[in-house]
Amino acid sequence: MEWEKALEIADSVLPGETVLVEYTTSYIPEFLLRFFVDYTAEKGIPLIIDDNFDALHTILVHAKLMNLTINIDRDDIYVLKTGGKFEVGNVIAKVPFHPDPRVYLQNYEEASFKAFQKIPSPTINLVLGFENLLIPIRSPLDAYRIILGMQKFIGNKKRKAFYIVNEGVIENLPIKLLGELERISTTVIKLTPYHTGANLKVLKTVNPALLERKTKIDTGGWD
Amino acid sequence: MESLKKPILITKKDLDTMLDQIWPGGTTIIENSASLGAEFILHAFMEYSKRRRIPVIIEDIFDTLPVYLAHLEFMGLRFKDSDVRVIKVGGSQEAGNVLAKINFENDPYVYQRKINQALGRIVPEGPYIHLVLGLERLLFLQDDVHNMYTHLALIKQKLGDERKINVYLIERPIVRSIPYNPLPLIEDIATSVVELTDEGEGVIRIRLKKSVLTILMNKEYLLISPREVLRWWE
Repeated sequence: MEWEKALEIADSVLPGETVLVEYTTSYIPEFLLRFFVDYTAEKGIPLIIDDNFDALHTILVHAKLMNLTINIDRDDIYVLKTGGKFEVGNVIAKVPFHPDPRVYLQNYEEASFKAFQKIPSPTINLVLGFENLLIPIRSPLDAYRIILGMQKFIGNKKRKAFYIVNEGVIENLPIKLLGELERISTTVIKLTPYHTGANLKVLKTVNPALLERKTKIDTGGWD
Repeated sequence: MESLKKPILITKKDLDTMLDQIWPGGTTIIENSASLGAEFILHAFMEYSKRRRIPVIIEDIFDTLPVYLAHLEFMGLRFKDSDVRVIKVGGSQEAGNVLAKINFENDPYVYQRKINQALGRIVPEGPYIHLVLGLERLLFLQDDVHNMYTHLALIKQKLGDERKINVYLIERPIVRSIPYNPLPLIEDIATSVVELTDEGEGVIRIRLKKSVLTILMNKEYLLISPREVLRWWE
């Protein structure tokens, strides 16, 4: 696969950043997971995957059916699992989900604190299925509690975080949060699929190295 | 040069090759906006099932199947009841060979459990196609948006079961009018997504919205004439 441009962008992201990556219907999540697995292997840094409600399982099933190899069984890939029923990869903590975000966020903070203590930094934190955390939310106040929980991690230099979110899903939820997610993120990247790849556009960034960045990432075949 | 500009219609063989790409363990979503797209899909799967000897089990939600079958009859196509295996969910108009019947359930967990029990009783050995018709009716009838999401979460859990080829035929104009459009979420769950629209003169455009075929064939869409390929109106 032709990753050079993506590699350069991932390198440019600063420690402590919270990057929102928006996509629409496509295999973008499958290719992004493969990218981050390869990228962290090449750099020799750990990868922490937040797997919310079986998002990781879904991606791995799709990848298998399309013959895209993604090997997450590596010593330095860790999974923080919230909800769901399919455990895949090296699950270091299972975070009990709770419909009251105050309870859930406390559970999450405890689990992630322990995890980050065990894992040498810096790390890449890849968040999958974040949308699924918003689905059970019933009030705007609870929605904001999730946002406040998320923004506490901004500036935590132990990690670079990438939130992979489906724009269409987020926009059609009863409580609209895309604007807040874009506001709190340090960088917002939009990926627009075409039949063999995606166009990348940086919509917002606090990072001068990424300002106004636009590029095309073609899969160019895969194994 | 004219032939290059004008996309070529696909043949029955191409259609088979395409359907062969729908693997067991995956979930395929067919979003129909073409006027006779659903009839085409139903007919194509029935024929494919016969040729490849892979059984199809139709989950018929709220009398959706009898509508399509009645339309197909006008086009001169009648299926043997024994060839159309059906799990009937709600509704009262029986069509095909109804192997199991379940009442409409408002609780998504009870609903899926009943479907799985029915499938367990009637499925043959080996892989089979589970074709769901009328999902938009089921989702439309949910009085709580969270129930709708629970239905979708349970559909997600079917991924990876390698005995099953899950196919959902969804009428796009109807599902889009549900207050919180569930299509993006359904598409995210799906292994592949295709969209059908009218191309004029009875031709249907099949857009490969999320499909390995787009990369393998370097194509974004295909055109098919059901009249020629499936011999409608003969």
